[in-house]
Amino acid sequence: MHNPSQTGSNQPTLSPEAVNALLASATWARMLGLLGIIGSVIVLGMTASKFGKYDSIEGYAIFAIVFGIIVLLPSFLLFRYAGKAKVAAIGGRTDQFDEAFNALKGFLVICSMVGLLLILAYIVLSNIGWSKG
Amino acid sequence: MNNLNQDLLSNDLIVTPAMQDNLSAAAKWGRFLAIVGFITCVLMLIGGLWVANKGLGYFYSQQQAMTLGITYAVMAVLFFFPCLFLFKFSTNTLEASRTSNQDSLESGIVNLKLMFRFIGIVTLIMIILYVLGIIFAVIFASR
Repeated sequence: MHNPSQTGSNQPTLSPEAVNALLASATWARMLGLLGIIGSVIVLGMTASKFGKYDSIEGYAIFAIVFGIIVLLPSFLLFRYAGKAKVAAIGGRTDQFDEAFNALKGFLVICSMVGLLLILAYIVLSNIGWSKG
Repeated sequence: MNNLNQDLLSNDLIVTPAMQDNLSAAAKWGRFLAIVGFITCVLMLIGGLWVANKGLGYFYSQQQAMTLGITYAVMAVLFFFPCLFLFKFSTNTLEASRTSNQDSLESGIVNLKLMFRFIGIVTLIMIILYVLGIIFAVIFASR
């Protein structure tokens, strides 16, 4: 295992094993990001083709924004993380690692917010269900 | 892929302060998300047990209630592992940023890889099952 003192610096370093692990994570993340983007575009496209289901354009716009925040944006950030991490790992570019970890942070922030909102919605709806039942 | 990068990855990459900041922030949110995920797992497990035991009034048969309960439990177990990997990534990365411990950083990144790999494999299996389900549904519907 690598010791920071071996590199002559107190800063931590990414060992070749860690960079390889990041590269492998980027491969899976790219697949997941692509699937998310393709899936959300299909769902949004299918919904857009059936405007009659909504009372107005605003109804669709609200649906598209909510769906975009829940699925499309995290998928895009995951895809961005994958691309940047791959370029950084292959080229050894630290600036690309900055952007990759920034995209990963964005992905985790959005997922956390959505997760929290879903749990809150679950609790609120459960309480409504219990009070009516 | 390993052979391709062997020369490029022969030296350690120094983690810059900007990288460290982004990684630490990602780890903090990751820990939060993992905890939310653990809570969701517990809620799913409780929901599954409730449906399997007392959900009979809402369903036509005991078999339906049991099937739904078991499905919830299996989903909770499947959901637990990525949360665990994410939690390990977060705690190890945060420890690495505090102590500059190389092993913790590497362990954190390996757990990030494990998380994405697990979710990727489960997603692929789900897609294959969906496609097979559609094919079987079409076959049975056409009979």
